[in-house]
Amino acid sequence: MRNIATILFLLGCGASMVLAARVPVPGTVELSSGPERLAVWFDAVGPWFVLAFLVTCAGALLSRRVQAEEARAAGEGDAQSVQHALAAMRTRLDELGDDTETWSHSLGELLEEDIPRLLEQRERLIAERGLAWFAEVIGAFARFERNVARAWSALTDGSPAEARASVARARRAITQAESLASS
Amino acid sequence: MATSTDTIDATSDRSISMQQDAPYREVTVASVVLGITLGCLMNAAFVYIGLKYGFGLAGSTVAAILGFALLRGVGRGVLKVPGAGSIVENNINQTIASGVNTASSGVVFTLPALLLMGADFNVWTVILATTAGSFMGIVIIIPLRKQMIEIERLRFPTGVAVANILRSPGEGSAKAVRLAIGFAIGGVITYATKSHWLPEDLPVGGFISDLLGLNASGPAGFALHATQLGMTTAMIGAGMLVGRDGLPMVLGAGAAWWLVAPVGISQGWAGQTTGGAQWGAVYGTMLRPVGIGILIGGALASVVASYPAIRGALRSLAAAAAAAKSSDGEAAEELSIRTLVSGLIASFVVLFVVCMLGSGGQPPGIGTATLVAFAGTLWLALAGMIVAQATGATDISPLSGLALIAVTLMLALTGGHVVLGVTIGVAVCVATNQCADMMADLKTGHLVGSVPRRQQLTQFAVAWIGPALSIGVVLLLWKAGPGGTGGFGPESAGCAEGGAGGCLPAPQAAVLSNMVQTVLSGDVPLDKYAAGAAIGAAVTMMPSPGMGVLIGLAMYLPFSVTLAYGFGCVINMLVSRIKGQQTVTGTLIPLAAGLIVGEALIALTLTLKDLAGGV
Repeated sequence: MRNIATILFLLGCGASMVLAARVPVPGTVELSSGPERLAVWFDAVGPWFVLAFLVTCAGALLSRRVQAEEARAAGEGDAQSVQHALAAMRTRLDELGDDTETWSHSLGELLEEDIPRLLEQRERLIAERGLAWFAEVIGAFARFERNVARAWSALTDGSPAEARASVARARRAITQAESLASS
Repeated sequence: MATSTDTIDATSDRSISMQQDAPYREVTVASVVLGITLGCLMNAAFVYIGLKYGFGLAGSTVAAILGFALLRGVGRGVLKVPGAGSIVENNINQTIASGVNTASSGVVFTLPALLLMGADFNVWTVILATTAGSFMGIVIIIPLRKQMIEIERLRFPTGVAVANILRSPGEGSAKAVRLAIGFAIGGVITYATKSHWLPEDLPVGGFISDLLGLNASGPAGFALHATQLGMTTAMIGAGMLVGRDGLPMVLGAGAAWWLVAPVGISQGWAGQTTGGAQWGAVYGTMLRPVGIGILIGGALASVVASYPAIRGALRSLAAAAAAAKSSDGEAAEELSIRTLVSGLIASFVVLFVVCMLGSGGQPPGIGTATLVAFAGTLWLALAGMIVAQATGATDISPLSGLALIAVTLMLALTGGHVVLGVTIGVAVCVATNQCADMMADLKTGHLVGSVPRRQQLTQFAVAWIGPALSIGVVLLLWKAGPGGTGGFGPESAGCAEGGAGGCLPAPQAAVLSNMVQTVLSGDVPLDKYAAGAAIGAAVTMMPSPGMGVLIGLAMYLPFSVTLAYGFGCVINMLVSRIKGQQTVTGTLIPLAAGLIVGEALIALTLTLKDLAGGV
């Protein structure tokens, strides 16, 4: 099904591009206005363009459906893995301890490994749970991400108090993301 | 961010500085003053460069590096200001500097067209219009931050490169070395191409075509000769940052140059042309207008598709006003929706006043003025989204094409009122650049942990400076030099291409002024725009974010640029598959950032050197 969707999309898209690029009257005829050009062009290739356009739409919609079905099939596991990933990130923050000099490595791993790994599932999660749900969760998650980055920056700049405050904000944000993800 | 080994290098440095815990510096007098100063200097310099060579430059990387040296080096090292030059403070500096500078491209590509056409216009109304545009660009794009940065995760390659520069004090030596290697490669290749030691484009397909003995003007020969790899490390670096998400652009470019162009030639749509004229016919009358249409349709459709997320973003902006009053201010991360709506209304009123004044010549009636101000605002919002999405995915701004549409639209609405049409066109260009710049700065801020609201407020506060300064410099340079021979006015008639002899050819404005004449004659490729818009809308239905804009951009750009970008995407995918995502994050990203910064800085240095020698 995925292959059929891709072939339909590529065929429709390619054909409609070629037809769109067609100069209204091949040769040297000069047209005097935009609407006139549009009318002449549509008379020449309009029906074929509409057909190609519909094939493109069919391919795109079929692709969307295939992706949603695949996401649903993998759904339960994905939802659980997101919950686990968020919980693991919160635990990592909880385990930071009091000595801020040891935080940098953990924060760096969060930013470089844990967060990108979760974000790789973005498209599948949107297909499975919908854009509105994803937007809610990602809003809180992005606040977590930004505050982890701020804590890292503050440590680099020698401001451990700001790093502590940022980590506290990050902890609240990831807790909120967990709660939204489970809803 | 630092990996385990890299962190060791940075730890000793940090432990020394952590002996003190000064308040964390972000929005400071130093960062604001330095940002405005650098922004003004770059604005004036880039107006001159734009008039001389016809291209614009991004100032964020320059501002970040100078900010690092001045805020951190001088502030902390020499003046002993505790905590001076923090990462987020330098980010505010580069946000302000680029916010002031960004108006230069919008003005320099459009306003000189009025001067070249000999139009009689009121400078103050143009300043009013562009200032309104500058504010509008910011208020219109802020609600899309959540969609573009948090949900779609657009890469904004320059934004990532700037973040790498800002974070370099804590990244450790290994990453600094990778950044430096990228910078060196980018710098050397840029120097070699600018010095003509290397070709600007590698004729990959032309070599194969010649080997097969194909006619360069035939369908297959044309397609192969068009297949050139641009030697631009900035585009390769941008592709390396984006990876798989950038592939639709390669698909679009392949369809344009390997399918549409050969079919068009075989059907005789390019007429009996050969060589450069044939390339011009294929690109100018087929690919480029369809590409612009796809960009418009794709952007409109993506707004519809993103409606749930945009609604969520507007809700969070509405909540920001209430949260700002809370004790910890934790959720007050965005400018409130009340501020944005007030800014939008005020800008609209100014635009309406400009329309009523007519900016010179016969003022239009109240109905036309309302229509022009309304259509101008709507187009500005759409163009801003297109530019922000395009720069977010590729670092390329389709500004000139959108400026042309703006002017065409305004000429149609005002019944051929050139001065008003171009004036609103200048405002739209300034606004769209503000959109792209604000979003790239917010991306940088996201990566280094800045509070978005502070960046938005500072850019909002300085948005009025850039337009007036750029317009002033353009007017100053109009009749510069002895007897006006060093400018771009009538006294410099015969100014050679490239501005030899010290005059300013103002190439982009000359193109726009020719296009205005064409539009006035009624020859607008409406068929291409309409068909392209339908394709853009259909393509955006694919479950891949921003596909319409990427494919439209691919048709809009020369093949060499898109191939360079695609080459970078493929490198990212190969490294990710062979070495894993960690190598992409730890090695490829700083290397790519270096490539982007290397090309930008060496190109700027060579341009300034050239100007110093030529004046």
